[in-house]
Amino acid sequence: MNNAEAKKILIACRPGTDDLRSPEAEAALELARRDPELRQWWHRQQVFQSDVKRSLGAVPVPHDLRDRILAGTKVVKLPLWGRTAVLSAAAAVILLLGVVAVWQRPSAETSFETFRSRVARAVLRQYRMDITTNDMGQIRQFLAAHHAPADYVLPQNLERLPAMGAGVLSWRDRRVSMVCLDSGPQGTVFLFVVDVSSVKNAPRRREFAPVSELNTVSWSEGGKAYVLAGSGGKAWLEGLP
Amino acid sequence: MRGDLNLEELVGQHYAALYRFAVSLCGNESEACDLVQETFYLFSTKGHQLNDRSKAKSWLFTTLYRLFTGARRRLIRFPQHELTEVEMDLPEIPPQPPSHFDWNMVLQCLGRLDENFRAPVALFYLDDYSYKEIAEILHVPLGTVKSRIARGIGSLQQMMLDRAPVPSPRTS
Repeated sequence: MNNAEAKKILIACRPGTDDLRSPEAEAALELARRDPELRQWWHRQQVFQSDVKRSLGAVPVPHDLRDRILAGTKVVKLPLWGRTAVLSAAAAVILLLGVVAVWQRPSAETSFETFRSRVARAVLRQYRMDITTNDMGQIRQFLAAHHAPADYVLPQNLERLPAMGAGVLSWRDRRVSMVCLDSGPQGTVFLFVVDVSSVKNAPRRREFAPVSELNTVSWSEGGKAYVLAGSGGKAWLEGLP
Repeated sequence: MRGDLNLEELVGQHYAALYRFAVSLCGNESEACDLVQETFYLFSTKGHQLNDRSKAKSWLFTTLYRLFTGARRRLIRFPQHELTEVEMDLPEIPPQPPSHFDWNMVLQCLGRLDENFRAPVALFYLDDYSYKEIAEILHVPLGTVKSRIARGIGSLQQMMLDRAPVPSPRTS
């Protein structure tokens, strides 16, 4: 083993852990004891590892995240290990109390704003069309076959855009249809459709809202909530639905 | 030891580490919050399928990672490459590691790492996971994890050195 090979092993080792217990790591350490340059490098490497660990541990966590998580987790069923009849009965009571508590508390996490943010960010992160076709009839058939909303109503200006395909997303165990339309120079626009009962406070009238790098226009009608998202400007997007 | 696991307790124990893992992956606070919330939501609905309570923590990390990569729907964009061919071809390791940095710079550089290296490197630093545990969380072979960590740290160091501010010459 030479100096460079030893570095390639030791670079992935954290001081004070089992990382150094493999035969290769022990051989690399042995070389570091004999090689001053490698020894110095290893010393600095250990400082680096500790500093990175400390730096990442210092990343601030949003102060209200814990409460938001607990508000969003409807206590449907907690994992129970080694359950007994007594535990099950106790759990049932707790669950009932939990459900009542959740029922009485407005849940921010099923809000329309959260839904809009989630679907728009899903597109920004990455997405995949489950079906690629320009035939809207085929798209509706596909969505219906996958239990996603298929009886959506396309406003006239959207009806004119060529379809590209569609995908099915999931929101709180409900299916969401994602219909992709080609708006030419403005790129792809995404229409998300969900049953209006799945979200709270869906806007009835057209409502514009930017979400990160996307703009969105949302509305609801006929038992469906719609989010149209695209990278075009506000005026252009508002003119589509 | 109690046989059940209190969700609130579980959230309290792991939400901060999960958030830091999430923000290391996506580099974005609001998206990281979404990922953590979605992970616990899934646990509250599907965690009962977990037979071994000691696996709850790694389940959370695995789930968050899967949500991030969108493994179910997005395999096309992020194929899992086996890196056996690059194991013998690690990048040049900088002569000395960087020495002056803060969490902001670490996050920015982590965010620029290749997807395949980012998660193992983040787990390597965040929670003292062993190689074996990282392999289990990410569902990749042990050897692949080791090579991804070594390669990822080498790249991370180079990026941090490139970004480190050059000390201004002193004027007397």
